[in-house]
Amino acid sequence: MLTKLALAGVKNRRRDYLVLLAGLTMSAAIFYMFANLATNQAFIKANAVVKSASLVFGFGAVLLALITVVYIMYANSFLLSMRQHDYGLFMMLGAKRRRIGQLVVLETLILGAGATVVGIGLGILVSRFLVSFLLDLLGLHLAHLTAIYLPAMLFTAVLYIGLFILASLFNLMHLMRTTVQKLLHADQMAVQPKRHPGRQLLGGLVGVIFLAIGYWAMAAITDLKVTAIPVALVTITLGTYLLFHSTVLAIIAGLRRTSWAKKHLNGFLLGQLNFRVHDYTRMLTIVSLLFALALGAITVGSGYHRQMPMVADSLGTYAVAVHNPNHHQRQLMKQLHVAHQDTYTQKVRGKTTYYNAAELKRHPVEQLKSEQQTTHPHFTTQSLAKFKQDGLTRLDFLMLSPTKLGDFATPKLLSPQAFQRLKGKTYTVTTIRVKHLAADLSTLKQLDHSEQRRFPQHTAALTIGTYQSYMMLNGIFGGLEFIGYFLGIAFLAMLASCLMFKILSGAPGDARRYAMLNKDGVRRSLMRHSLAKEIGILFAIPGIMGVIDVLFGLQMFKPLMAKPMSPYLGIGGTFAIFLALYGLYYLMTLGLYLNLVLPKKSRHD
Amino acid sequence: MTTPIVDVHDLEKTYGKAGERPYTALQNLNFTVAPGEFVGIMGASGSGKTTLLNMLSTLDTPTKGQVVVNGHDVTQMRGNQLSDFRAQEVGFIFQDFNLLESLTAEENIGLPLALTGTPSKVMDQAIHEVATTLSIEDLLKKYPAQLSGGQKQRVAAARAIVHRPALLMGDEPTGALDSTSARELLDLLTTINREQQMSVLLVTHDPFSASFCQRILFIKDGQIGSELTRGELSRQDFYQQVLNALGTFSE
Ligand SMILES: Nc1ncnc2c1ncn2[C@@H]1O[C@H](COP(=O)(O)OP(=O)(O)OP(=O)(O)O)[C@@H](O)[C@H]1O
Ligand SMILES: [Mg+2]
Repeated sequence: MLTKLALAGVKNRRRDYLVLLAGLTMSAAIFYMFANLATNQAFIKANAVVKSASLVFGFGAVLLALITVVYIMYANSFLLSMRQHDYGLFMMLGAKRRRIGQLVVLETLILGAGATVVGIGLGILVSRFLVSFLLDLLGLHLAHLTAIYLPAMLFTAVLYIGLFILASLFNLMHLMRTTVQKLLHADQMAVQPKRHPGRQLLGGLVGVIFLAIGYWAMAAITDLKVTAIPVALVTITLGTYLLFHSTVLAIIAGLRRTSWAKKHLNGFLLGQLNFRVHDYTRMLTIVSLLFALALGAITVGSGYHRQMPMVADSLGTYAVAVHNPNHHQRQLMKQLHVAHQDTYTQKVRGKTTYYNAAELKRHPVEQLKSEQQTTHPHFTTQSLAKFKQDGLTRLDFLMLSPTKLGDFATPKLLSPQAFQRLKGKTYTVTTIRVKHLAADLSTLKQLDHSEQRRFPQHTAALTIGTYQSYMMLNGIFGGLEFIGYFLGIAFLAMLASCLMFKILSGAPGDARRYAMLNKDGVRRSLMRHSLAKEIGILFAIPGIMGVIDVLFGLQMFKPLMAKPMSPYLGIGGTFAIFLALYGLYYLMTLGLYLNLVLPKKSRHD
Repeated sequence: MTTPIVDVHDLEKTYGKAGERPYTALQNLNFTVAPGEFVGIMGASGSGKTTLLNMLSTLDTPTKGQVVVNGHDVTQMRGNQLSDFRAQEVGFIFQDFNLLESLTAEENIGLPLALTGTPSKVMDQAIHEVATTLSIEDLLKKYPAQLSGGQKQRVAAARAIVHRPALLMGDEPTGALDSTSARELLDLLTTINREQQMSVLLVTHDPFSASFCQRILFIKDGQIGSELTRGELSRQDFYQQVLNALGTFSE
């Protein structure tokens, strides 16, 4: 009988349960996606440019697990708040506490197990899609990457089921200890936070100090080695929480005393924020961390993505060199955004490649101006005499030989007459420098392939042209790039589900309050603005904090993105796209929330 | 005769969406309330009292008929006109208080003034005045959760009259109160009615509350069944009359 009643209760709040289940499923899926990479030793080893990569993953897993714990705590308190009124009522009507306890444990476990199983399934699907999508998009080839990975499944299942067992025990304790009266009226209790100005000031100061330590630790990663990561994680989390906790309360209290608070719904807005400030500071901390992690990871990923071609641009004087271009190759060459193009005649005899000095004089071979690496390379030419001493033996020039160092001696320059007379196989070679590698990658790929087919390269250890340099960089850093994007998307999804979940869980209470405001004659536009502001604040604070975290956190990647790369180069675009997405997500959430919370229109207007 | 503050003409309300079985709660209902009048509405449970008040306060739309409140035809209003009407022209004391738990009593009371953009000095003054009238000055900083039922009801009453609406409506405002608190609130409404010429429309099923009114309308089967006027009777005598009327009315 009681079970039936409990089920009826669940049915009545289908939508809330759906939100809860969706949120938990999402989180399990994301955790699986992460674990899929983190526990895949083969993948990590293959892509570990740096020894510490697997450690980074280790800390990432710990962090994600911690966030998961908090997330499940939220979910659980949401569940409890939905159910305790019902259970209180059953108890008041004479149901035994023991029986109620069993029901609670059962309900929590069923919900948790369901979410875990569905979540892992979803995680596998999303992994498969995301992995292939990202690899395609980024043009990477990574070994050992699969969507279904048993250890990750086990890891996720064990963590989630374990957490739900804990949650169910917590719920059990809560229901056993709380009085029926409190259970019945729990949702109407206003927790009015007490303020201790002195303590708050101290808390804020300590928070700032913690943040400073965290930022310093990230910058000092070369000295601190891997310890920088846990230090930064702990101090930044605590610092953010303390800072929010002290400032948010103080700001609300301050604003409440101004006459601004007495205009329109401002007072209501402040009251709402104050009412939920404890809840909010915790959530804002988590969200700002997730925001920072997502933005940071994507910034690093896109940093590699953007900078690898830029760096390659500065590694040589031509992108590709094509021998005896055929019709197809000529067509391809026309598609390139050419910055500089030269064609030379070569004659090969024995091990030596000969050039026509007159031709070289007319079209001097381009040289990189300085050996110093920068992403804005300059090119010059040398006089023929100078070229004979220096340029002749530079690798870029040596590699132009059709034998591609297969069997080689230093190339020789001949006078036009001598070149004419020389017997040997004649070739032409066309070198092309493009404006930006990034813009011509697919055409260059085809050219490089056809050239390789017609004039095979004898050693893969040396790169010919900047396109090949780019491919080599890709091999080294592509794994990091992929990890950056992948984690960024995973954290972003977690952030989205966290915000959505937390905000939606406040909807029933808000719907009641806004219905009251409607009865009191508050204009709909005013209610909309108030909601937009309240949710806007929830989005803006972690956004600002997250951006600051990332600006400092990128220091950590300086050793990994050594010159001429830099973690800060060109982050503006990435930030702008990220913030635009975040803004879009805000509008979506707001739309959904308005729909849930604003009273239905009573008249057709 | 002066223009009435409330003029209800041929009002009909039928509940039920398309496809559902329609239920007509009010039909062919007519009555007026003069400015400054204190009118009670009585009737059995389910007779349509709350439905009627909802029409008057624009929380719901009539199916048919005309409702004029303070010179506005409320059936013609749209959008912001509706909310502004609720915020400025009428005051409403709800049976379940309708207090916002995230605001202090003071902020709750000030809400109607804040909505119209009243300067904060004027607002403080007005809040202070009603608080004195209702003797709730020392409750102003408290949150609804920290108030008793009667205290909440007084705060709700303060919010309903702080902006001096032309018409005050109450749906069983004494329903949740003990007899002392109920009596205090009714005395207060009577005083405000007399001193500020604020019209009061009170829904109640309790003869004691009804005896504070000058006129009582009895709703039966969705119509005004009969009417009782106090005239020069003392409250006690009127109370007796109401009891008698209820006796005959329900038969
Ligand atoms: N939203 C609604 N949908 C359908 N029927 C409704 C709705 N609201 C009220 N009714 C019906 O209309 C009739 C009048 O309801 P109303 O709430 O006005 O009664 P009342 O006189 O206020 O009763 P009480 O004294 O018990 O509060 C009732 O029969 C009720 O069932
Ligand atoms: Mg009613």
